[in-house]
Amino acid sequence: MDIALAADGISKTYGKGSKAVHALRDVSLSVSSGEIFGLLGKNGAGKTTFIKCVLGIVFTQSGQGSVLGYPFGSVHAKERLGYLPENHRYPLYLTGEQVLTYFGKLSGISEPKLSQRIDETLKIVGMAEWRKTKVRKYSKGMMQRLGLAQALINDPQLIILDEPTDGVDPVGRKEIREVLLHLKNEGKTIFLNSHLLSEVERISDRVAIMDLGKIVREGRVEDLTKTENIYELRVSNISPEILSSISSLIVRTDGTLVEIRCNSPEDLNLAMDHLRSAGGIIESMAPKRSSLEDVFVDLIKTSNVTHV
Amino acid sequence: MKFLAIIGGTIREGFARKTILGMFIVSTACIIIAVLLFQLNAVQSGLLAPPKVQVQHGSNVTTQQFAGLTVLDGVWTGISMMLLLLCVFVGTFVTASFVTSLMEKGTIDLYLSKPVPRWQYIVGRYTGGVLIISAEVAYLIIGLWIAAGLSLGAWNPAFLWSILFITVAFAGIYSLVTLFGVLTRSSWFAAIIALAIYILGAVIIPLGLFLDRLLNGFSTEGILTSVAKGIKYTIPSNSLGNSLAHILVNKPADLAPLFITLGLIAIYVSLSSFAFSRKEF
Ligand SMILES: Nc1ncnc2c1ncn2[C@@H]1O[C@H](COP(=O)(O)OP(=O)(O)OP(=O)(O)O)[C@@H](O)[C@H]1O
Ligand SMILES: [Mg+2]
Repeated sequence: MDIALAADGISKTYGKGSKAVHALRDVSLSVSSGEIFGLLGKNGAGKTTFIKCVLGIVFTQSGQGSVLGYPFGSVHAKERLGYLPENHRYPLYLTGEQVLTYFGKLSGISEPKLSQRIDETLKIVGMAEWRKTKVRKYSKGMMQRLGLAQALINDPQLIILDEPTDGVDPVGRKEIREVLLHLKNEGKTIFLNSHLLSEVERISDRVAIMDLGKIVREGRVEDLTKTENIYELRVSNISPEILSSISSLIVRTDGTLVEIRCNSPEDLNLAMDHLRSAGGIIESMAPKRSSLEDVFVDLIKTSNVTHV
Repeated sequence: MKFLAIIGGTIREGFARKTILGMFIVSTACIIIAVLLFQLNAVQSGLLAPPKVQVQHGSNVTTQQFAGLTVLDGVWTGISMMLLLLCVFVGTFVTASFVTSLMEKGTIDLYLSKPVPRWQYIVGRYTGGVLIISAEVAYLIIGLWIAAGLSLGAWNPAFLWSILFITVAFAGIYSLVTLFGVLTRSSWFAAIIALAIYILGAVIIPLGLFLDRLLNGFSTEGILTSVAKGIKYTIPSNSLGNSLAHILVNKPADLAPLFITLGLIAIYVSLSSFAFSRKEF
């Protein structure tokens, strides 16, 4: 599979001397074509800085990067990518349609293709009825949708989104998620920054977790959220005697929920037999998954990255 | 295409501001007032008369006449000089923000994510600002010129040279505004510094002479005067008013200031583009 975006040992420090901020430290990651990749991290982790390096808005101090086969910041790569910045602002005196015309022209699209793309993108983000309204009158969520349309105007292969659902209501978020999944189905690559973990978890194929400018974990969402050999059972008719029959396996109990650790399917079946013979009624059983949020919080807590 | 879009965006940004529209309204008012004045008989005969200057030699006063000129030519010269200063000073403040608004948070990231080389933004914004001011100047001057031509039958084509000179005078100082705007990201600061430099250009040679005399008692030019002369060549829009005044009264004009300013514009706009392409946001 080809690589849409690759970073190898990227470092970026803002400022000098005692005021220096090491925003990125030796960041390496790669995003394959056609996947949705989420870059996660708390405020100030360096997510936006990474994107700015990709686009050449800031310059890296060390490391190599390539985007769509060109070095970071290349004008050629920008022809085939779309970007939704955080806190983006458009000229308030323009209408939504005029904003798209202006930025569409800057993306190198000309008529009649431009008008066609404007119609399409406005429809995709659900803003068709607001196209003639001045941006001044837009709400935050509408602004975000317009930003997304702007990012899609040149029918990009790679879409880079910084907090795409920022300020958008739950219905709008769901719509944006659907738009992103639809784009992925069309074969586009999506790179998104977020601290809204549940959202990223729902749509990303792979994520990287960043803390204090370093990547502390990278992998497929399923792999990151899988917990080794722990199963969740719902058991009714529960009593201390019943539980004592498997006490050595129990990780945690909470009402009818019992979490047990079993190293093999045989152990699991044995444990269930014990429970049933002691009078317990098993209602459901499933391998336990932690949410991305749990993984994230754990990682950030235990991450040994420190301020330099 | 993309470059034209940048220029178009700049002009549009200009018209979204009340100041630019205001300038056009004031210009229109000036033209209307001129038309009304030109209808008055006294004004007509006064303007079309040959200018007379009384020259005093000792105790006897003689009257000197200027062949081939009218009072109107003198009035054109006065108007041109005034417009030149007005355009440089007002125009600078009105357009200074074009460069800095490009670099506002939330806007610059969008621009820099587009497949446009960075220098095009600076050159495009600069060109947009110059186009707005030159349209403004051309509108006013052509308006006045046609008003005078139709009312008085006086069609002095030299007056139209003002459009070029005034535009270049503005463009010269605007190249400094662009440079300081990129460096400091503050439009007010950039405008004030550029105008201070413009004023310095007008006084630097007398200043050099004065300091030479003060420090060394030279009666002629000293080292400071030479330094002042050198610095003067780095300041755009210098002496353009003089050249223009000469053209307007049919005297041989020195065009060097025009070419020097055009050269300096090329240098300062290139430096601005270079500084912008190295900047992080
Ligand atoms: N222009 C700048 N000059 C100096 N420091 C900066 C600059 N931009 C960012 N930083 C610092 O770099 C670090 C990373 O910032 P960045 O904006 O990349 O974080 P982020 O992960 O995007 O955060 P958020 O989730 O809040 O958007 C922060 O400590 C920030 O203060
Ligand atoms: Mg950010």
